[in-house]
Amino acid sequence: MDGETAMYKIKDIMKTSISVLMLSGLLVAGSLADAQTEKAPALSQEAEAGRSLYNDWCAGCHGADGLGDGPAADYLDPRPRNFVDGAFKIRNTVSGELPTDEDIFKMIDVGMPGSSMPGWKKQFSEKQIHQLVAYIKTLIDMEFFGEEIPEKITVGEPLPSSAESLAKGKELYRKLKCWECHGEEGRGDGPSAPTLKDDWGNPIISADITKGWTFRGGSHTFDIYRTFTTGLDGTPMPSYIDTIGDEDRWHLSNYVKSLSPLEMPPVKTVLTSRRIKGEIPGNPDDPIWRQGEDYFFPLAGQIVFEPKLYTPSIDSILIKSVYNDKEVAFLITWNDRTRNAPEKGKDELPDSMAVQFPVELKDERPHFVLGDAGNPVNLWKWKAGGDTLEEANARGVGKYFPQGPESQGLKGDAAYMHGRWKLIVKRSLTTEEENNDIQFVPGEFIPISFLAWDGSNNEAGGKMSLSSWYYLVLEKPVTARAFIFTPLAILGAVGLEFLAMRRARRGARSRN
Amino acid sequence: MRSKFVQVVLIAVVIFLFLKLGIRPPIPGSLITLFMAITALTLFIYVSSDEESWQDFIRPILATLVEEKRARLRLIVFIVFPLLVGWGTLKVMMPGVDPPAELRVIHPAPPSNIQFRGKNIKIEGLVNPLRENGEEASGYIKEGMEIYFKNCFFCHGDALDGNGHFTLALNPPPADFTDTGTIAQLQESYLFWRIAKGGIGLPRQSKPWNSAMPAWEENLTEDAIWKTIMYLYHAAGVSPRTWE
Ligand code: HEC
Ligand code: HEC
Repeated sequence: MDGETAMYKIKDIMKTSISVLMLSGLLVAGSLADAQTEKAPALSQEAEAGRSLYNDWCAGCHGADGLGDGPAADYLDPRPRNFVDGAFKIRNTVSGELPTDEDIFKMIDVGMPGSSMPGWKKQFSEKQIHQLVAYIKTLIDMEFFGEEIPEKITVGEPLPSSAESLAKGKELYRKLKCWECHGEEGRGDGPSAPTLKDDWGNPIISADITKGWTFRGGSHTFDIYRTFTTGLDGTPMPSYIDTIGDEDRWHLSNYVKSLSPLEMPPVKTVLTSRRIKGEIPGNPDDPIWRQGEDYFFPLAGQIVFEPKLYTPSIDSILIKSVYNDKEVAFLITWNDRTRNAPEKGKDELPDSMAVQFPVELKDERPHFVLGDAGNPVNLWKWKAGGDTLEEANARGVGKYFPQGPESQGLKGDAAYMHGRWKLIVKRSLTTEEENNDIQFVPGEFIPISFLAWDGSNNEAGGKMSLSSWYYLVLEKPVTARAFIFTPLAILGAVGLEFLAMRRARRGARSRN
Repeated sequence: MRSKFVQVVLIAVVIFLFLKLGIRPPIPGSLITLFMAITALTLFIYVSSDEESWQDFIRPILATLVEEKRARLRLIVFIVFPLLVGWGTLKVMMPGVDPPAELRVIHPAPPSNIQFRGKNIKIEGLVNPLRENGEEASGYIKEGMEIYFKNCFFCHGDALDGNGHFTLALNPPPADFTDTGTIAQLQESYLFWRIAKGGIGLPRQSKPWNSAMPAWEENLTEDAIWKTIMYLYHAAGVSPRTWE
């Protein structure tokens, strides 16, 4: 007890001395560091080395004193960890305890997917990471923690996944009310989700557990097991250590694991539109829409022009395209925790999605953020609420021009279910307004990109998430020519061979 | 092994494998075809440069066409060659999904002058003016770091490796400052120009341009840009190229 109070006092003195220093205007990089070494208890050599690495590479986010308030902090969601409070998310220790050294080591080594916390494997040696761990531990305010070694969770034998295990897991997911936060199908859209706050009072979203590649603690079955066994300290994600037994935990882990693909889907540069016969179905569950490949495109916040969006809500979309002799259509699917479809006159921002094309195909492409003065874009924009589909043109942020009513030719429909929008949008392959509309010719490579807005995250106008340009190509129909020219080419090759042989033989004979 | 024919085939195969597998990110098929055509032409000029080398080259081909003891090989070649031609034709005729080649000059020559917020700045011969105040450099680096962590790391990454948390959505990807091919071989004045004018300010030869790089002229002052540049070189542990 005494030791702790002493420790607290020293920290206090240190903090006061720092504020005094600030007041005297001495806050220049070097002198702050010097002052700390003078007043603070001497750091071990290892921690000392860690501190210098920390100041160079971590302070930008975690702050010079480890308070999670570096210059970048206000631009990040989740915010960088405040080490002083000692609430670590990923631990092999029980709720409320500090993590083990290995836990901290692993977080620095591999990073926290789905956040801005990178893995530092490439940058640092193991020794350096140990030094960082040693230093981070000196930042923690030990007032809140006892001196005993943190209690670790015990982990039983893993149970392999099976249909039976998944069924049990699903039942546990329901019974333990995981869905209240994570949603019925796991997209983070549960009824309690909108009200959640972290321990510092910041709103926090419940994880979308259909995107395992964004799990802070990793997406192996064991990682998931550990997550709900220990809980994520500092967040509303509770610890279930006393609620269920070891076997059930494995069933639940297997089930949660099964909700995501094994890895993040690959990103391809060319989106191929499949040619179909007959009508394009308007129902996303139609067998035609089930066939063919789903293309995955990551999105990022728009931070090129003001107003910028640093903490976007929609991080990726899935898209599929088909076309027939008359029309081309897209099925766009994306996860959004809240449905914002305001009625007319309501002061709420709608969820929206847009597909972007250049108006004209030439060497120079329009700027990927809504085009530029010399190169306009053609937008197909959908807004929730009244399900408005709108053809528009833009020449940069703030220069968005909807086309007149006579030029509107988009058809489609959107539906929201369990934290996910599904939008179908289609248009005729060609239009009469070549000066404003993209025209589709099979086999041509057409730049395409995507813009998304989540109303509940205050996204509108330039505040959006978006992708850079990719290509769309309408699959060229196989022509009869291929089947005529291929045999001809083979015949030609055979003919050539015999010709060559005859000449060679003659040459050889005449030489003999 | 000594035969010209084997040499030529080996060279062609090595070049093809290099183009196909040795270059990351992969280059489009149409470019590979172009480079292979150039290779074939060069090799042809090489073997036909004098009569002796030409004879050396075609000897194994003639032998395969004529000699009795090579009858089996001849049969194989006579079957495989037309099949390859047929396969190639079918591939060309079938709808392809190779995107158009995007050849761009990544580091185009900078202009000699730029207008920065209405002020004329001569880029040619320009050095970082803050470096004169040697003493205060460490303060500048710290300020540069703050600017970097409020504006740049989203894309260029906090480890300066071009791997920020927004990078995945960007194509082409943001510059990796730890790569020896970027800031280490550029002058500070070049960086100043690129930072001030962004992707939009690139000259024509760099089109089709897709760069997400914003033009920082609007948000950062001249001094702020120079400080950020100092931080970049300091943190990446390299020095700028100098004006000789
Ligand atoms: C780009 C900003 C950024 C930088 C730079 C950064 N971090 Fe983080 N770090 C974060 C964020 C954001 C979190 C919290 C993520 C979350 O809560 O989901 C975090 C969390 C952590 C955690 C807590 C893990 C847990 O279980 O809660 C540790 C430890 C950590 N960082 C160490 C470091 C170290 C060491 C460095 C420097 C080598 C560093 N970080 C650099 C952004 C950053
Ligand atoms: C009170 C709301 C709440 C409940 C109930 C809840 N969670 Fe969570 N869960 C969260 C929040 C919030 C996060 C995200 C924390 C963060 O941002 O780091 C989360 C994160 C997760 C993650 C991702 C962990 C990672 O590494 O990023 C998983 C997996 C998870 N929860 C599983 C479950 C399971 C299984 C249950 C039921 C046994 C459950 N949760 C119950 C709120 C909840």
